[in-house]
Amino acid sequence: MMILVNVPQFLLRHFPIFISGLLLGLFSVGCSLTTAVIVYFPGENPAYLIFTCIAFALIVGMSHVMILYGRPQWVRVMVGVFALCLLILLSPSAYRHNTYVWFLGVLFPLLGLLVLNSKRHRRMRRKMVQVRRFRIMVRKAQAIVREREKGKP
Amino acid sequence: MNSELAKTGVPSTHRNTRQRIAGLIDIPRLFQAIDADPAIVGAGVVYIESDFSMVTLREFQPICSIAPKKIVLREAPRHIALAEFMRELQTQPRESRLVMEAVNTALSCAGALMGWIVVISGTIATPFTAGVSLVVASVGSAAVLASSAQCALGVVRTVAEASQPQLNDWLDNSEWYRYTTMVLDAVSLAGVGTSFLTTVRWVGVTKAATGKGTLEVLRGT
Repeated sequence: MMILVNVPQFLLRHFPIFISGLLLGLFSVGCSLTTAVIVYFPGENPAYLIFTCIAFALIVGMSHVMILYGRPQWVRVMVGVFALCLLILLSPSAYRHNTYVWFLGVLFPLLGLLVLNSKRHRRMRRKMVQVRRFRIMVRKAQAIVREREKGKP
Repeated sequence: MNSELAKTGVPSTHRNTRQRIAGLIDIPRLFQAIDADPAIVGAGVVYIESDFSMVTLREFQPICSIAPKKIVLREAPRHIALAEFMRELQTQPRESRLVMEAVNTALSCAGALMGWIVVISGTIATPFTAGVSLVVASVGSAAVLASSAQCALGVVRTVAEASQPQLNDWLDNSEWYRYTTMVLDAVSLAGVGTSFLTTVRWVGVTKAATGKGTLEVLRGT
């Protein structure tokens, strides 16, 4: 196993901001979708809510995995998810239905956008791009060594 | 009381409670009245006292229908007026499980957190062969995606408990929801198994390469 970066130091510095971005994404998806379905589609089958929620959670998870593997463009997907979760709650009927839940539902996407915009998160994304380039170099080196060993009698 | 203690060695509070209730209400007449109504004939009867101790007076007997029915009789608590208690029972028939749902959500999100730590460590440290790492990475990613989905579903249930609790009751009674949660659990556990196997293999390789003992390898010294 080749360690590319000093693991404990890296984790301590970047993991809190990463996991708070992820958790805020999951919480805002859960909160906004549930309130939206309860307020806008009261009589519908809850199966739609559950499967939509699972789909959005997979999108949030997938974009964070892609960010980790060194593709920072996927942060735009997260921005889109947060913006959608914020917008679907901006109506008087959602506010009147349950004010505490509405406040949470508006707070989570706003905090999530703040986290994505922070210096530390941008630094983490840049760092993961460097790690990806390093990983590609290591793989190429391993492939060359293997070719050489195969070529030897 | 003393003869009962001598017989069993332990005082049987259950039998005493039932005897006490038999003294308070006419149990055979209660059963007759219940069985006279064809909609609830054979129903099981449970009596809950004012101090919330529960006594099962009889089990459900499938006389007319096989759908189990249970009648719950509640004694009004002493601190509350009778009319007030009746109104409370009629308007709030369901106890709120908000705290329990919130705790379950916190647990699933903590599980997702652990999975993400493993995934991050996996991106930083590459194993020796590219093929192995691809398989491990995809299983690990699938597992954290499943546990993240479980976290989101926990939040949905908590919000539903606060806004519309009937949604949670409906979900608990649906078979497809149970199958979905089982599938998500299975995928999350598969990730746990894969990361365990990867750790075992890594420890073996490091031991062979460096000659250290298992504990030293795990500690990192």
